[in-house]
Amino acid sequence: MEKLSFREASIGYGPRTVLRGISFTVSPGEVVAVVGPNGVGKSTLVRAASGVIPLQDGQILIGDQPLASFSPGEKAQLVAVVPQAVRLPSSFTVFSVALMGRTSYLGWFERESEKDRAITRDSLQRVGLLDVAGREVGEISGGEQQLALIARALVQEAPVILLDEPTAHLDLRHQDAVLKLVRKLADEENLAVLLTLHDLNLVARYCDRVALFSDGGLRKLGLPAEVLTPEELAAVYGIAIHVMPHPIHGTPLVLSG
Amino acid sequence: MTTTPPTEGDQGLSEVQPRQRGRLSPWLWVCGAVLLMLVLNTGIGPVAIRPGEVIRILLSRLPFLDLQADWPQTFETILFQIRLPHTLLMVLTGMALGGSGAAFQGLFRNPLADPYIIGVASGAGLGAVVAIAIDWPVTWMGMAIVPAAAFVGGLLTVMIVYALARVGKSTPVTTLILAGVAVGTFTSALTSLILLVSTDQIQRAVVWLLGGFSLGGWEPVIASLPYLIIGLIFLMLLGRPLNVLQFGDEQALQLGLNVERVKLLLVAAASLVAAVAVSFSGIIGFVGLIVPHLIRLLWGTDYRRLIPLATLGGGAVLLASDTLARTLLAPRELPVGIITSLLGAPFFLWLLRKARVEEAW
Repeated sequence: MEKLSFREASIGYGPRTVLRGISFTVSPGEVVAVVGPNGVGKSTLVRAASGVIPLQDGQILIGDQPLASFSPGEKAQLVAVVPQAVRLPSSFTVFSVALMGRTSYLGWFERESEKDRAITRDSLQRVGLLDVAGREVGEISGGEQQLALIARALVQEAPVILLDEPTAHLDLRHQDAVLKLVRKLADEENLAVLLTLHDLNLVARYCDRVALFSDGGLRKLGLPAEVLTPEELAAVYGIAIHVMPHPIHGTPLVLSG
Repeated sequence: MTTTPPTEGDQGLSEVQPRQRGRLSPWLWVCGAVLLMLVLNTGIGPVAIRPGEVIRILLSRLPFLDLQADWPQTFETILFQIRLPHTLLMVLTGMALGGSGAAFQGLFRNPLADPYIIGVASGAGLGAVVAIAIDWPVTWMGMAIVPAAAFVGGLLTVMIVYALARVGKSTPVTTLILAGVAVGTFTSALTSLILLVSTDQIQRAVVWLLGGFSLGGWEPVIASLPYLIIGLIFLMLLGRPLNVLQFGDEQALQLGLNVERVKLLLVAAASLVAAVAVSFSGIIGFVGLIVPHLIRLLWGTDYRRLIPLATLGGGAVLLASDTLARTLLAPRELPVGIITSLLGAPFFLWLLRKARVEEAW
């Protein structure tokens, strides 16, 4: 299992720098949440960590190898990305979509082997979608689509997994299901997980550490209880924020106003 | 964790392919349509040969089948020297348009993409008209000059469009289509200009542009066959990467696909196929646009099936159009491009109204 490290990484588009001098590490078995206001560059961070946009400065390392030194196929076997399930091509089956996680293991003209299928079935089983494997992704719920994309990422068999707003547009039950699954992947399969989340209460309940971003940089990194404080959050979000212990879990409970 | 793997065969397949719409296999439908249209198309003409006779004449050429020849000898001559080459050229052209149309739509993830949108066809048209206008001999060193010029024009145009559309190291779909439309409009304007100043050759060029140009005989069939086979085989083998591209360039890259290279290969193969079709049969509209849509509506978006099905479907549709073109005002023969556009445009609008076009994407 490999860790994901940012070392003085500056990320942006063309001449514009979105994130400057980012340094932190996500270890195997750890879930790290990236939080911050809209437009602060959370998705940009995910894109850079998957290697689809080049760094302006610094390095992103997988283990101790720079991400930029790998080919697209090698990157996909090291870092799997779960994008937001905004609009999927609707007429592929859940199984076909998950099977596409094998792309980096196959030549352009190669067909999937029984091993690829077995890995896919196993991943669908782990996310609980084996029953709907033959349905088209356009026919299943948004929550199930998100789970299908997680299954596709698991099929990539990468040690590092990135999730961009995995709970956006999901109801409470599916939010819970997705994050419990993410937690399990870190705890039981020792994956290094980096995810972006807007809901700070979910962050507090499910994540090991929080990276709070503001003004183009990493403002504070630490345990949820250390980072999710009224002072920090008020400074970043610009509104009054109250934090109290969750009546059941004891984790920070964040309320605005 | 143990899962009981489903038995291979039917069950494994049903996980990958969406539910069947309709009872017969899609392959039976399209192959049946192609065969039916082949027989009908070869039979029609000034000397009508009944479908049964067509089949028996064809079968009689097979070894070990001792069929009694109870048809006039002229039928055989007409069939093998005139009808069959024409019919085969039509089916090949239709297959090329259907297959490349499906590939272009998948490649650009745009329901409007076809050989015309990215400029292959207009570039090929310009090449051909230039060759006609400067009155090159019809053949030179054994090569048919007009199709060759069209082929060069088409490939050059795609290369220009592709170069213009590149932004940094990537080729976004929007710039590709914008560049295609701009370059296509420019080459079409040049074509019109050349037609206006060279009045002598205008008739020949206009007929060619409408899809009525044909060298006749077996030559174009044999000349186009190797290019079409190579191009179409590449397109059919690239169905799985095309499926991955349907999730967008970024996701495809994150899944480990070398997006730029696979796109380049797809553009080259699809352009080759489309340019060959345009070279030998002129500009034939709508087949490359409508056939893939129809197949997608009927049998889904999986490009591993869509490309071969659209290839066969394109062949059947163009044969049907050609049959109409040669019977509607018989004994006059209309350019087949007129028929495909006259039938294709309303059909396309009907498809749009059904709104499932959007849904299928």
